[in-house]
Amino acid sequence: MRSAKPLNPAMLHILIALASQDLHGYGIMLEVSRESDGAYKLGPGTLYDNLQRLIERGLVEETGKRDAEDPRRRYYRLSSSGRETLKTEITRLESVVRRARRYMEQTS
Amino acid sequence: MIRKLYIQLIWMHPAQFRYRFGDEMLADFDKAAEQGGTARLVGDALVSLLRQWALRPKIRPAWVAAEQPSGVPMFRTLDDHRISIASKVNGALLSTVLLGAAILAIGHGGANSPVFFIGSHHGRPSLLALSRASIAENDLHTQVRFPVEQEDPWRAIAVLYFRIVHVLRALDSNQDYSISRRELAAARRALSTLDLDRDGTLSPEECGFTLGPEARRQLGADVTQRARLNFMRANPAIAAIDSDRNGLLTAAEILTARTTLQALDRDGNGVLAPHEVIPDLVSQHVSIILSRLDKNGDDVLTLSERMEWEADPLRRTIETADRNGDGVITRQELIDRLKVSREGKDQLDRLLRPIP
Repeated sequence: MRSAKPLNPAMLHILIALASQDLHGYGIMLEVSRESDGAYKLGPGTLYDNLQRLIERGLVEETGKRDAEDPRRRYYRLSSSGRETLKTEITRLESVVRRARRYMEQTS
Repeated sequence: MIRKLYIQLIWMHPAQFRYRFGDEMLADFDKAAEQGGTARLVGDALVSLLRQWALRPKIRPAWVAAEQPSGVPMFRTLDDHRISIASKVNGALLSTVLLGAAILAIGHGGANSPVFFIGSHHGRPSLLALSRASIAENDLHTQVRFPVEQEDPWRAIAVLYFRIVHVLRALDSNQDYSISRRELAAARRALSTLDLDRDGTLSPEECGFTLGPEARRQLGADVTQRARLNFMRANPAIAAIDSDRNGLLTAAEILTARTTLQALDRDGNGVLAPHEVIPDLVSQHVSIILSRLDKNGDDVLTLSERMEWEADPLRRTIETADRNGDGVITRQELIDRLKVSREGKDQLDRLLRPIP
């Protein structure tokens, strides 16, 4: 299943964070902050609000595993549909960047 | 306290979301709060709360989402719908928070308007049986007096001074020319905004020191460097933060700025008023003297440094400043001496002329 609309920034960051490994919520928050060099910080409210939507759309799923240190935390992973959506989104963003770069070169 | 508020915010989320993610939200809040920034986390939960109730259709009652037959008006009653106790508690809590916020906003909305009364002497026929004979010409003697507000003499100076010293301008977020407790608490964040080159420290230029390239060339590198150092030492707010007195505000000093700035609060009311952060004229003049004479920037004048000013009439005053007779004159000794010296006072204006 592919996402028809572009993903919002929070969703995109969550999918990118989960692309390389399964993470629990706090792990996602740390990974998002790390991958954006601290420029983008997700709070728990924003994280789970978006995670809920991603789960409903079938892009993210629970692994069934819990954190050994704090069993309240569940692990999440990217579904195959989520991985496909992320690829589509990256392709879309690349084409936006290419187009923008072309416009900038023409105007400079 | 903040944690309890956060738990309440989680409780206000729709049950479906709360049961599914509530525990994880709280666990993540506990972990993230260890790094600070709890206010941001609470704000984030508030946004999530609004988004959940406003944008997620799944949590609406089933009958709202039910498909409505086209063209057939539908009527519903709420007879069978009982409001749960949790909803009532949540409603009461939310109302209290909003009311409190409104009262707070009104209370800090600005200065109180002066109240005055204006007498009226216009009888209206519809209200009064007007008898012109009863109105004597000299009866109209109502006087309107506006209270004359006492202007703070420091304010005019503060307007200019806060503009020059960027550190104070950054700290004074509400631009009332005094640094409140709340502004002191936010000192670290406010000062970080001045770090234009993102190197983690604040240089004299980032703190407000200004000297054009032409002036720098005329003064030479040594005098310019001393002037930069003295700028950091002459301005009380900067000097208080620069605890190692090296002329740079380091990341560690910025981190403890809230505490070090409190040392300036002489009257102990928790607020830094203009008279507590603006240096007096003599201190500024002493900084100019030190910029000229203090070659090694150690904030004291040794005998050899004073020799260069031998021909100057102020030399005698400076020499008598060495109260403890140790041969060196400190900044404080110089300030104390110039404050009591008539000769010094007379000659201070001379120091304000441009440095040759």
